[in-house]
Formats: sequence, structure tokens, C-alpha cells
Amino acid sequence: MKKTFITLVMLLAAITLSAQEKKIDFKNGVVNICSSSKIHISGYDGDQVVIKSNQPDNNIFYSNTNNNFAIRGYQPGEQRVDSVSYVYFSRLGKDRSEKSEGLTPLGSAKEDPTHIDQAFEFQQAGGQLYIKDKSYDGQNVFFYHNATYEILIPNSVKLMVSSSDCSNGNNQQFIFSSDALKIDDFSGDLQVSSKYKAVELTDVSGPALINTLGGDIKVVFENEKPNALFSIISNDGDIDISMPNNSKVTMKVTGQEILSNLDFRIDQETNTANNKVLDIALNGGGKKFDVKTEYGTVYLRKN
Amino acid sequence: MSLEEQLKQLKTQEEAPQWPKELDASFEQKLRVELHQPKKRRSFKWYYAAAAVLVIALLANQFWFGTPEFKVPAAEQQMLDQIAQAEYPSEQLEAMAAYQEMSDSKADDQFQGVLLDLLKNETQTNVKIEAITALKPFAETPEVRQAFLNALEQETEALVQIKLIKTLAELKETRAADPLQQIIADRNQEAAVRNTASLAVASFNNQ
Repeated sequence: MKKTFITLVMLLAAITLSAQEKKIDFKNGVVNICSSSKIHISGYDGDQVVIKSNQPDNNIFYSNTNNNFAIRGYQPGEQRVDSVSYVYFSRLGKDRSEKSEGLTPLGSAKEDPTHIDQAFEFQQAGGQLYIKDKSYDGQNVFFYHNATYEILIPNSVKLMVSSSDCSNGNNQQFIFSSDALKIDDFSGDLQVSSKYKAVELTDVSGPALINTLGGDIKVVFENEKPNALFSIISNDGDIDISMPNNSKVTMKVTGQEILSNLDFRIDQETNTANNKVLDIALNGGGKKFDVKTEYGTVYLRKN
Repeated sequence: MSLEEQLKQLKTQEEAPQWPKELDASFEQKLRVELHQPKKRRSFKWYYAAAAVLVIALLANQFWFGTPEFKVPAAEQQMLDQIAQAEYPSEQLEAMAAYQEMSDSKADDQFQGVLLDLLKNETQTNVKIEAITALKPFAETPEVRQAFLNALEQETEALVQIKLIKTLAELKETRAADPLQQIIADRNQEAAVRNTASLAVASFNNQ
């Protein structure tokens, strides 16, 4: 396995790391993103899926074989690698830019895999586009770095995002950072599934089906109003929704506590052993929201 | 001639001639033909057969399918079809919500059947959780309880597992105790799932 990593180190060392971009023609169908990387997704009226990466300063990559481990936002320099067998730190690209200053490549340009290709694998078939964390030699090899991936998604597609993998079921969970998965300005059909990573949606018009096991969920309507069904479910996380005062919504809300500064009409109130359940409506009711958290608090805010 | 004289004449008369024995067989044959004259053959009435088939079919329909049930109104049937056939989970949830608003009887058999299919075959977490919530009013039905138990053994999505465990605990379904013990012992399960299972088993023990 060491050979695998040495190969990877050498491979990555050969890559010029700079802001990079990958474009894939895709305007109809379903985009499946399955990644624990830091991702910021934005909807737009285009016909390509565009992935951008800023320059990572440091990289950690390791295998999960026979190890249960997690890295929670550690900076590489700290070298806190509890129970991780193989961790490689590399300051890739640090000296290369200085050394190559004022020089140009000789000969024809060779086709290098981009950093994005190293981090993700792409599969496209039958109206489905998969963007997944890369695996090597049948092992999951994860990268931890300071890169944030910005992904532009056409509003015409349906988007499914999972913070773990694309398979349905329990798997070893690797936590890389507490940064939320962010999705902005997307007006297509959206599904997000996360275990512990928080999810933040801004001006997502819906329909949206969001679920987390432990992550908080934040939904903000700044320039948009709720325009379709929202189903938001968490077990332990808080759910925080901000919307204009003149929004027309009908909500079924379940939570340990439900707090709001909006003028909701309460149609029905039920108290269970652990939770409060409210059927409420704003401005006479309208688009449906199903909001459930077993052990969290629900915040319904005016913005 | 008086009757008495006729009688005397008969007595004095020679013995009457006997029927020749060789003619017995011929006589019997003729007699048999005479006595067993075939009746006129009835013509086959096809409509009697058709009527019989119809009656049998109606009786069989009653036998196999029971008495005709209340027919779901067209609009509601359309909603049920949409729940079952919708391509995307958001459409299924919209149709479920619309059906529950529209339908007076939220506990009809067709709706229950659609929900059980979702529980068994659907993969989207939010839809499954909504299906379990909507199935709870049917929980006195043995079929629904068994479906919950089956789902508990097969489900791998943590949020759905937690929803199933809580539902079975609320229903005091103690048959769940064994699969719950297996979940508790399985270190590959999410901690939240194992914790919820432990609480459920404790609630069974306190009953």
C-alpha cells in the first residue's frame, strides 16, 4: 500500500496546482454529487456543469483500509493524525511557482490530469452524471486540503447531493471539516442527504428534500420566496428557516422547541412525549413545508 | 250366444295353436324397438351455456375477490397512481400531501397498499419517513406491523431506521426486540441508530 501512496505523491507532485476548472456538457437529467469535500454549489441558466477549484496549499491523502478514523478540520501543520496509519503531508506547488518564474515550457504541452480529476471521478450514462470522491485501487483515498470546490449546475437538471457516497446505506463515515455544504440560487429539483455535515441553502426555490442525521440545516430566502414543496428532516440537527414576511406557506413542524418571529396562524398543536408538533400557516397558507427534527430546535425567522 | 254357451264352447274346443318358438327372438327384438323408441333429440342451446358461464364467473369473482369495495373517486385514484408512479420523490411527496388533504378516509386500503410499496421499494429517505408516518394510522393491521418489522431488518439508511425503531416502540411491538438487539450489537451501525434501539428495548422491558 505504501507504494500506492508513493505513486500518488509523485503523481500529485508533478501537477501544477493552480485555480482549475472542468466543464461538462450536461443540461438535462440528474446530477449526482457524492463527496465530503468542501463544496459550494450554485445554480445558473447554462448548459454545462462547471467545477472550479482554488489552489490548495496543503494536501493530506490517505487510505481507509482497515482503519476507522476521522479528521475534523485539522490543519495539516498540526500533524494530529490520531489513529491514521498513513498520512502524507506535502506542500505541493510551493517551490515550483518560484522556480519556474520567467520560464516557459519547451515542446508541446502535455496533457496533465487536473487537480479536479485527482479529487473526483466523473461518470456519465443514461441521463445521469455522477461526480464522486475518487477511489484508487478499490480503496477510498481521500484528500484533505484547503481547496473549496465551486460547482455551477444548470437549473434545468435535477440535483442530488450526498455528503458521503452515492450508495444507500451505512458506510464508514469520514469527516473532514465542519464546513457546511452550501447551495445557492438553484431552482431545479433538489435532494440533499448528509450525515453530520451541515447544509445551507440560499435562494433555493424548491422542490427540495433535505435530510441530515446530525447536521444543522439552514434555509434562507433572500431574493426568492418558497416556490415549491420543502421536506426538511434531521435527527439531531437544528433547522433554521428565514423567509420574507409576506411568504405564503403551510407548514407541519416537529421539534423539541419551535421559535419564530413570523405571524403564523396555528391550526393545530400537539405535544408528544419528546416533541411539539404544529400545523401552521403564514399569510393564509401556500407552499408546503414539512419540517422535522427529533432532538433539535426549529427557528422560523423573518428576514 | 250367451256368455255361458261361449264358455262351454271354449272348453270343448281343441287346444289352441302354440306360438312358434323360432319367432320368439324376432318378437322380442320388435318389442324392444317398440318399447325403447328414442326420444326426439334436443337441439343445443348456446345461450344456456353462456348464461351458465356468466353465473359461474360472477360467483367466482365474489369468491376470489370478495364483495365489491367502495370505488375510489377518479381524482383520488389519480393521486394514488401519481404517488406510485411518480418519477421523482418530490412529486411523490406532493401527491401524498394532496391525497391526504383531498381524501376523506385517510385509511383506505388502496392508500395503505401504495404506502407499503413505498416502504418496501422507495429509496429516498424523506419519502420513506413520510410513508412510515402515514402508515401509522393503519398500525393495527397485521400486514402493516409485519411490514414495519421486515423493513427494520432490511433498512440501511440511518434516519429511516430511527423512524422505524421509534414507531415500533410507540406501537409496543415487542417482536422487534430481537432485531433491535442485533442492531445494538452491530458496531457498524450508526451510533444514533444503536442508541435509539437501546431506548426502544428498554421501553419494552419496562412494559
